Amino acid sequence: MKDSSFGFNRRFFVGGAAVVAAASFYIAAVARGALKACSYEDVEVGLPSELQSLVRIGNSYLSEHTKDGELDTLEGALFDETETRSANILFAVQRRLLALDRQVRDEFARCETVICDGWVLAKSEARLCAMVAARARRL
Amino acid sequence: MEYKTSLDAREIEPETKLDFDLCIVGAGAAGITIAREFLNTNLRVCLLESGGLRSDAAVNSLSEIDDVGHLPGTEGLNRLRYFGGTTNHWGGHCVPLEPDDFEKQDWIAYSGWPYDYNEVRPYYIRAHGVLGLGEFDYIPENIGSGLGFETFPFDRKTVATTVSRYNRVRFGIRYGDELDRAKNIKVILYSDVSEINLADSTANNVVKLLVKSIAGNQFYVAAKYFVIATGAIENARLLLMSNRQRVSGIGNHSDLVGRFFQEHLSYSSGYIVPNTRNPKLRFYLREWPYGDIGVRAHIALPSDKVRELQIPKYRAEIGLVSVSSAYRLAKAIKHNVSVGDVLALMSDPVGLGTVARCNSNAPPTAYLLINHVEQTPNPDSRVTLAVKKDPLDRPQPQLNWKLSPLDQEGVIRAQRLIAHEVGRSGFGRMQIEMREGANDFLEKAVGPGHQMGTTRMDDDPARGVTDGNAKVHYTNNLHVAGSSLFPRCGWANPTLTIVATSIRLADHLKIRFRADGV
Repeated sequence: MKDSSFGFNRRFFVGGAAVVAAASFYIAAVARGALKACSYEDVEVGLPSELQSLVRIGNSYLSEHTKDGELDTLEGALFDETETRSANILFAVQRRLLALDRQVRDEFARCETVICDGWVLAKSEARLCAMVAARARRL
Repeated sequence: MEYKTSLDAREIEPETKLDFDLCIVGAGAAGITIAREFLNTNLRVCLLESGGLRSDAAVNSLSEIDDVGHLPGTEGLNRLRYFGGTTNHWGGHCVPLEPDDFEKQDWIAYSGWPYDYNEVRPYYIRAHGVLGLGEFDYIPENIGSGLGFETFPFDRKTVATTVSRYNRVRFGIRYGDELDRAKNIKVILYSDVSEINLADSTANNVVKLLVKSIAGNQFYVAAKYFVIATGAIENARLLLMSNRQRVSGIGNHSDLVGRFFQEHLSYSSGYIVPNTRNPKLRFYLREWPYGDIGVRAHIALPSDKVRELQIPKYRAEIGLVSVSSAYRLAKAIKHNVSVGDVLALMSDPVGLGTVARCNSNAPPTAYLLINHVEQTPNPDSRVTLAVKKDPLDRPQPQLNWKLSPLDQEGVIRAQRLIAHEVGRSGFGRMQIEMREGANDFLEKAVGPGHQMGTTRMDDDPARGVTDGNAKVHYTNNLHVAGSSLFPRCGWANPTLTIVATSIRLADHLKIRFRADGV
């Protein structure tokens, strides 16, 4: 078995972890008030191993499955600016987690899946990993 | 065990002719089962065994194969050439074929048995007696719930749980004394059948067998009926090398002897990671005591789903990941991101890995998916005669085991289906290591030693070596027993079906003897 470790959220798995990870990147960027320019490799080395795994999955998706502009649309849907600037970001993330869990299950039922880094993932959760990867590049 | 009344072929006078009513070649599961069906009857039965009562290096040298096909050097090594045959080390895994395994299915070329499941079911029940398996019940709910085990929460119309029964019956040890005591049965050890002789080149009656021993002597065994039960490789070899009277060999009128060599295909290609730390799925992980036998659950695709996908039959055994893999996974799944974790995340947003905490010290769980699937009948996968000779100057069998693209495609589609069900049910996620679009499976799948298919049954002589009663076409009194008869093998381990079809053959022979007035 290859080293496929990544941060499993035991309730929400990849999608949930990716939402939280994406949120964390977003919050980190806001809190620090600046984006740090660095290469993807630098970011990966600096990230916790679980995030590295999400980034690896995300990069797999970006290189094999993504279309132009797709991530912008996804980000807009996931992190509404008004919502994430409010004091209720905690609940916003939680709501997203619950909705994502339903969406991901539905996608599995419809066989709307992709294989990234060997994992069979619902398209939504794979796209979230791609967002994590994309944000990691920008930090 | 010391046999009191058996003969040792090495001590039989050269050119002796022994005479019996029924001669069975091969004392493995099939041969011993048939012999037992004639215990204490008025029929004189001989049971010829190539080896002795225990493994013997000189005899084992007769088992060498010229292996030129898929993964050369790996196939046929599990065969044992002594009394009891391969049951001397088998795992005792028993499960019947599914009803649709007997049916002709359009997407599987050469599928279809000459009879249906209902025909063989009574023999499965009798085979349970031979194998000491208890009640003929393979319903997971009946067995698993009685043991207090849970099953995967999958839609059973998509991914089903199956149950197998286990009993490692060593046929030679279990039934040796019984055969030894029977006055009408003679076991002849160290006897290697080297040729099947017809009355003449135009006749359909087999009259005798030429038998050799490793001591160099040879003799003949005559009988009214003959059964060859030496395994899929040796059955084909014996028919092919009986080529003095029929040039292509006996039963080889349609060039089918040795073709359709099948194995079950075993390949570990992925794992399922659950989203709960301790799912109670121990039923799948090893054999559990169930009365005097063992039981264990597996997962399989139900017949309707296989039909929908038009793939070969698929089953997977479930194993826990290895220690090293578990260690990596332990690192991977130690985080349990909850609302509290998100709150903590707010104070240190980048440090997800440091704020999330493991809520339990229980070991991580991941399930290895060990595919154990049907090989589809393939005429190019075959046993022929090699140029190389064995110590008795007989041609070695040459094995050219070949897989087909459908075998691989079936596994790919089955794994995708399971992965979708794992995600849909909310149970977890699945990782597949077998690269889709590559030939990983075709290059690496191994056989567990279930050789089958080389004397396939079909009532049409143009499509089969043997008919529905396991009689070799264009012979009157030569029958075959064992898994070489199977036109199609499903995913079920073969021994239970070998024993069941052998009992069926014995019943047929009893009818023939009665009709002959014997």
